[in-house]
Amino acid sequence: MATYYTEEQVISAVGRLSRVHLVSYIQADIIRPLSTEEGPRFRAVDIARLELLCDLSEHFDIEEDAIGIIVSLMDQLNDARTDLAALANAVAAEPREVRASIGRRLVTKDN
Amino acid sequence: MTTDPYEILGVARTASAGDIKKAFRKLARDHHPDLHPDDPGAKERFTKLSGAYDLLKDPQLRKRFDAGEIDAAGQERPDRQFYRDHARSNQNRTYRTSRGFEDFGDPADIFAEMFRQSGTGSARQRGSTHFAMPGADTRYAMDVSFMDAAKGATRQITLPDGGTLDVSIPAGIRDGQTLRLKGKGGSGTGGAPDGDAYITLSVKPHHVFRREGDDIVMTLPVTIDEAILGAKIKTPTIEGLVNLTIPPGATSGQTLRLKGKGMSAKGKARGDLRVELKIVAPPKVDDELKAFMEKWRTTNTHDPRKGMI
Repeated sequence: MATYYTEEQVISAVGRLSRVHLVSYIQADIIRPLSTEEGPRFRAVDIARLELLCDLSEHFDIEEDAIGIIVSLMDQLNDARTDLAALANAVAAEPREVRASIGRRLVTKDN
Repeated sequence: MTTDPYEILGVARTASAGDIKKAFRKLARDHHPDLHPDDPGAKERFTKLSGAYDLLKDPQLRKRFDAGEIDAAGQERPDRQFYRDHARSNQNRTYRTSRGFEDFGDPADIFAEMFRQSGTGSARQRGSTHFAMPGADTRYAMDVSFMDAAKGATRQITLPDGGTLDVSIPAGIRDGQTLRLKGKGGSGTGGAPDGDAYITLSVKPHHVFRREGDDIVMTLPVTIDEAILGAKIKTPTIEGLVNLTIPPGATSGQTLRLKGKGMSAKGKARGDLRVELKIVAPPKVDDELKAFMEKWRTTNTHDPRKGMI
């Protein structure tokens, strides 16, 4: 069964997180819980993300606006890596001549 | 590898709290797994690092460590979840900044489109000053009954803001799967398209049926006489009752398979319904039965536990 967590459960799961911070992260659209009729629900990915936000805030003393920027960049980075991996898999499935042709083009850097 | 926290942080034993914080910060920047998703060794190094910092940043703990009262071990935090491990998961779809490759029409155009999309993708970010801005995606969680998930259904959900949304649940949908309702999210401005609604489904357990892959499994209680003599038993399936023929001499644990009566699966043949028989003794064992059994077993022995121990 997919596990969903309530606000209370999230706040106790992530020791360094206060309710005030959780609410402001949601308002800043950095954390996106699922909406249900019983209120917002969080998943494991949200908890991992919150741990990261606490690291940024606490270990690096980064203020919230800057955190938004960093997280946005990180999301774009992760996306690019995901797309890159998908592309690499697609190429890997091609016959050797096709892979070689693409590889030559990459190595030359003259496109 | 060293376990001494001062060595791990690269500071002298006489370092000030400020020095320690500065040293940690510098190292954390280079070794935090989420800031270096490509580096597999980062997790181990950062765990050591944060363990050392946790020990030395607290003046009480540091004092006790310096005095030899506690050692460096035991400062490691329980296996903590780093975000980068989730970055490629299905759950992370919420945080994707681009659509990935899902929406492309002609595969041959995919590469030209990919670069065009990455240009317009940035226009969807918050803080953009474009007049035309596509609507935001909205995300919901919804409970679905086992039967609705198995047979498909149309359900209405009430949104937190009071509106309703019709959700078409495809037959065979799995627990945790996300449906995408194109254009049902936030409204776009200036003529830009509306966002999408993503609905993550949670399938509730059923008191009779259980899902295993594409099959549905259930336990069917039968009486001793039904098992010994065989019988035709009205058995529940997700489409209602069917007559199931129990062969004579059936035994507990024996599984009968009803082909094609399981879960629908996209692009594959439908799964089966597996019915596991469970012989149930009568609620009261009367004297007649007892007498018969005592007589019967003098001439019928078989050892079901042969070879067990």
